[in-house]
Amino acid sequence: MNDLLNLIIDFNMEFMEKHLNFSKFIQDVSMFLGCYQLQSSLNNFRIYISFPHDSYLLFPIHELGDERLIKKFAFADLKHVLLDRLVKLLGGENNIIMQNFNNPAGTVKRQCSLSTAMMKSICFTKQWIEQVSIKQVEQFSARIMVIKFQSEDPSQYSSLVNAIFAAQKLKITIDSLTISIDPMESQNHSSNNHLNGNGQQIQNHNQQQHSQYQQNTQISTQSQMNTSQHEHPMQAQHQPARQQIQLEASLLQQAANLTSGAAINLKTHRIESDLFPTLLEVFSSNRATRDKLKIPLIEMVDYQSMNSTCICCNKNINLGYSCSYCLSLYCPEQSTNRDFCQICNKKLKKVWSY
Amino acid sequence: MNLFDYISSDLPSQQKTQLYQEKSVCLCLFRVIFDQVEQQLIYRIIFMDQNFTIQDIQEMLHIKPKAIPGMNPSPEEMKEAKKQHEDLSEKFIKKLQKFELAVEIETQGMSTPGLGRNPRTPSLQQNVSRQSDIMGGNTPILSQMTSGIYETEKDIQNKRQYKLKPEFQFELTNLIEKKSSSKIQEEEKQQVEKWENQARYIEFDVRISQYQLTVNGFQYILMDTPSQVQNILLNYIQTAQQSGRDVYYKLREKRENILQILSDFKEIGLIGTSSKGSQNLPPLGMSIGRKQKFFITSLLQSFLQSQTGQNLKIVEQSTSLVDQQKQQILDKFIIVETNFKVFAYTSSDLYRQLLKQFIRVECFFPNLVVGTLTRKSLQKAYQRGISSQQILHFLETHTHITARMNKMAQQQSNMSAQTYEYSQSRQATTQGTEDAKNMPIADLFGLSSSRSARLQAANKDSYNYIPPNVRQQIELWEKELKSLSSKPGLLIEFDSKDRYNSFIEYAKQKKILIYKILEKEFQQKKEYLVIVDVQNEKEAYEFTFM
Repeated sequence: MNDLLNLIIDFNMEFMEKHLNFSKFIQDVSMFLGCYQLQSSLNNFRIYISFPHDSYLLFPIHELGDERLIKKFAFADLKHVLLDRLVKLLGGENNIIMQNFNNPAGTVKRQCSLSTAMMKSICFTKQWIEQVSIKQVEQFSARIMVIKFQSEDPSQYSSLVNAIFAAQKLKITIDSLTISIDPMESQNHSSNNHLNGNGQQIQNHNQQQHSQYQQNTQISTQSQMNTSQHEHPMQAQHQPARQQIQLEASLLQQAANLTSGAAINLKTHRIESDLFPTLLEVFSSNRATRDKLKIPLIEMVDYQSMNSTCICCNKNINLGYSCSYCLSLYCPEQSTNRDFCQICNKKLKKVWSY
Repeated sequence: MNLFDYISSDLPSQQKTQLYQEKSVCLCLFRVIFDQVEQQLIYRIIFMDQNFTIQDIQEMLHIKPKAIPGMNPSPEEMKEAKKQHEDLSEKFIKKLQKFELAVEIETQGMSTPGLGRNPRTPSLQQNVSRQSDIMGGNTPILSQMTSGIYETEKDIQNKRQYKLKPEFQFELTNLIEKKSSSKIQEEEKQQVEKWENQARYIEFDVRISQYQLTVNGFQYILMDTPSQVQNILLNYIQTAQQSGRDVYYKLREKRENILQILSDFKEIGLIGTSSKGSQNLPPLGMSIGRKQKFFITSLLQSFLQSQTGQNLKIVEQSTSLVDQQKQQILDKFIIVETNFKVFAYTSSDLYRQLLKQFIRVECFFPNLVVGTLTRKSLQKAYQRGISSQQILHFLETHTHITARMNKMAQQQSNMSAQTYEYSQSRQATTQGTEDAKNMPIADLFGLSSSRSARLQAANKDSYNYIPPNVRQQIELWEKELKSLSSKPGLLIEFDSKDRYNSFIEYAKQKKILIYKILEKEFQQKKEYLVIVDVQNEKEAYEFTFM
């Protein structure tokens, strides 16, 4: 079966400078791609790298003769190719990426434009699907895998949602791996950490958070989704606040849920040792294979705890108003003075008042 | 016999070990023999630092019972799921044993540490235990069906320890981590440097203490693969001669030198060897011996291939029929339409350049060239010396198979129509003279107005896949160019008729070629003009200045 993996790496320079050995990270990624490519000669992959202002295709670039590298990939070294290209991308005099990064003013966007990378990958995947399924009449499986280093940017909410729905329509699975540094690791060291023979450790979830999680959420398999019931905004206002950081239903988690993908939040203080095993065990298999394997951290997304984003002010809101035509959300404060929808230009008429 | 049958046959284990030292063999086995789930299991096993049991494999798998969503699975469904679970793990182990990729290890009755104790990948341990925690303290459903106090035979079997073959594990790990032994890399590098230096493609620059590319080397890089191989061979022959080895002379005489040359060729991969005694595939780690047979490798085959990809007779026997047929199909890619449009389904640069010579190309696609046969483009080609027959022959020989099939189908329908018409006409003649009155007038006079006659005419060009109007137009455009031919000539004017007549007689005597004789009236005066061939210029001048 033809398989396509679009790997999107969120190039968060601040995080990488502080917490990450970049060369090791690229090595882990190339090893993971090596494992993926080893499985079948029909497996293809593409790597996109996402910066604050734009995203770029890092591999394969046909003008640079990457076709040969792909053909002999089992015997070729991808790490150095990726590193060289990144150096060229970040080097140069009039480099927008470095200008944005070095700009101390807060006006410049720091969050990476994930939505552009996703859109680009979806466009390519659509073309690929047409070629494989229609012209070659063969089975296919397409995936988008996102590696992020921080929480999501609310300003990209609408574009990300569009991308997610487009992926769902095209039956593209979205996987996400969110990597963060766990400051609580030292406190929980004695109770929860397990050591192996090599002395490496991975952070487990806190026992208390576990039991709270079990009280508040239901766990099921990826394919069985229970959407939350629609609630009146007045009732939702009085719901207890859910403040579990690890269980915050991010947009990517929702995307994984919708598209039967896997969403993992890797909290660790040693990314170098934990990244590759996580990639290998969870993300090297496709959707069909995961059903037969014991893969950890398959969680149910609690839609009740999710936050949506107001389109006008880009803030996370728990309660608001929605346009009946395009379903875009507005916070209560801004919607009082709004007569027309910002997205579809339809006249807004309030249904509830409080 | 394919690779997998060969490996699973009664090969000595030493040979199998040698085979598993090859990356390509390991990759082939990994991709073809194991399905996706088994490949994931191998990934988990590779990074374990210790032996594994069937139980460990079962713990990695998770087969869900087929229950209606929202309802608890029935005991039968759970039994079936458990059976599937066990079958999968046993099948996996059996596969490993069949290809000797896993070896059973005797534990002498000691309790075996499994996956849950000390895995190399800590995340697996943590995450498996978390999975059970998530289930609310209940172990996965299937484990509820486990047996009681006494261990059954199956339990004992499940606890047998296995270990992946070290060579297979090593090669796979290297493929993932892209490591190769530094020693081999260095040796290869040294060999290449030595050869490049000998061939004068690189030279050592003392100032920067590094090798630098020479002009010859740069030219070598620009060549295509067959030319590069040819260059290598020529270089070899030259260096062999320089070292005192007379290649041609020795070939006739001493067998040892032939073997030496053949062994050199083997080193650069042009030929391979097979031992006489073995009936199976040639063993690895070949060595030259007296009873060695040589066969041509694919590298030499590609060297001997011509530009258009047609194999020469020497290597015809070694190429398969399928490859030849494929090549023939690839050479047929042109469709010519009646509106002079040409569609060429090819990505070959050679054919694209050829088509550019006489077609106005409208667009290039990765596997398609679209163009039109225009007057201008064809006349350009004619001026370069290409004839219409050459163009038509090229288009015909490379006509697409679909177009050929369509033409054949059309031909068959014409033939069937023809036979029908013939039978109809026979019936008509037997009916009598009354029907003769109904015959078309043209037929009475022998002119072919009937359908059958027209079909006969159409069938005459049954082997021409190019539409007749296109064919005729191509020929017409060529004739158009040739309709007017010009040659240099000498114009002589005579004032008097006497002089003119005397020149004519002189020309007859001296055999001067006259193109044209004109009698013109200019301002009420007659002029006599003679145009003479330039070759006879000298004789003409002699007469005029006489």
